[in-house]
Amino acid sequence: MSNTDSIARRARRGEKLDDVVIIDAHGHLGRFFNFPTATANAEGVLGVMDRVGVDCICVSAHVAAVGTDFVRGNDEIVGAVQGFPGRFFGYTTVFPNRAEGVLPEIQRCEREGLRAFKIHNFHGKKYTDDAYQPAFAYANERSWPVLAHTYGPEVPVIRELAQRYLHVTWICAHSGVAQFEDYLGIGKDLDNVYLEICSSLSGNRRIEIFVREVGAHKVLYGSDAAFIAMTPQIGRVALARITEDEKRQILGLNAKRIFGL
Amino acid sequence: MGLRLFDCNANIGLRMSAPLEEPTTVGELLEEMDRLEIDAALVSHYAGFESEPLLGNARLDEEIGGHPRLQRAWTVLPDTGGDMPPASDFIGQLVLSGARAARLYPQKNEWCLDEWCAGALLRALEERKVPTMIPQDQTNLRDLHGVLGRHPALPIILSRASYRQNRMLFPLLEQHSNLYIDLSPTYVVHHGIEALCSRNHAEQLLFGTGYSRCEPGASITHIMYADISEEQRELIAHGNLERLIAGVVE
Repeated sequence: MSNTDSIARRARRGEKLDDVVIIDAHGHLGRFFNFPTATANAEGVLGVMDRVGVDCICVSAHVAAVGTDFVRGNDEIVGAVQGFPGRFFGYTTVFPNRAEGVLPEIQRCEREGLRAFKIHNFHGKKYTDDAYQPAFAYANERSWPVLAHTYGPEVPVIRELAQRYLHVTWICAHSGVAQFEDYLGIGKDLDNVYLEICSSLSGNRRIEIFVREVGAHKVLYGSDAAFIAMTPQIGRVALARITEDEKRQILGLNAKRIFGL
Repeated sequence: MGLRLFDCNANIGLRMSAPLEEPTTVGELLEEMDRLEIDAALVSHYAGFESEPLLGNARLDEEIGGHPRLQRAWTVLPDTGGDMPPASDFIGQLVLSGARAARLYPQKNEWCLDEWCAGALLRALEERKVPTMIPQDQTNLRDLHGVLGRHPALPIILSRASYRQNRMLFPLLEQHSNLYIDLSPTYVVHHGIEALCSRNHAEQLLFGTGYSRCEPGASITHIMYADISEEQRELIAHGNLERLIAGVVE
């Protein structure tokens, strides 16, 4: 390959990236209604991680993040975190449609070791809704990260929240899938907002533009596995037209800092 | 050198909603292929989708005709509207021009795959065994099932399949050996390549990138890190598409 580096050379050949810290900031576990999920469990995801060289994946449960079974889903995450120490970092899914899905659930999961949230507008509430605010205030007091599902229109909402809860590290999932300029803007303007990259479409050159316009220190590798495959998003970073140092930041060093791993 | 890669789904030209920095030229495509060690590509022109099919085919021929690493896929449609060549002539011209695949956009071009509308076109493609790509959002899997059964010698490549469709794709692949899946986005299923290979469908899978809209690096690591045999990887990376192209009847 021309103009390349050791990460790109190995990724092109499917070789394990075992000297690179790789932390996947956006993952999921468990069964789901919408498509077959027979291997979407901890062991199934670990198998892919081991083949690629992914050290740790930050996960929420399908049935909680895009379902209603937040207790069972969050328990599934606790099980993976405790069952495979160091390989899974757990997000508590906040369920805004029931009071018990917010602070009581956050505190229950905190006792089990979870220190970050996942929020998803699949649950039907705007993130500025009153129901979410106790969760964000709790995260703000503890400087916890929040991974927010976004697909463009949510970016102004995250902008508002990031300026209100300054100690939360806000992670915009699926950054750049739509309204690309809005992601560039929020990434540049706000120190406590990060851009996570996963997308089933893998839009061309998005990562290179993020790095050039926002900086590699604000970009996070995430895959959405096992909702989708883990390996394509690795290639978007490993084979991008950016430096090896920038790849290492995106693939894991930024997440290591944010999640305290 | 790494594994030989033959991309079944590359595109040049200007896509309607393309962001400013999305590449458009054959030079940019070749540069990207060099950078990523993609050996060959089957290419379409966005003008055939966004503007007008015959214009797109002409531009494709002008811009890449005869390039040793690039094969051409024409946009084709039935002559039912009176503005296209008769189907047998149209597909004869395709083959004579050196193009080696066809793309169908029934939804965009307002026709359907039923025999009363598309029968002559599908028969012409089948007689010549022209690999025929249909994006998933241009049809539906029920209609595709009918076409595959009525034209068993026509190799049909389903592109842009969704990662959510395996409950239908598994039985469809099982029933139709003339169905092929382009692995470019958005067919990005957790353990998806492995599941299809374990069901003996390795010969029905094609490496594809979706360039220029999609990041080709994503498709490369998708196949390179798949937990499959090297024989299966070779088939998917280039062997299956080479076999299909070699099968076109001159």
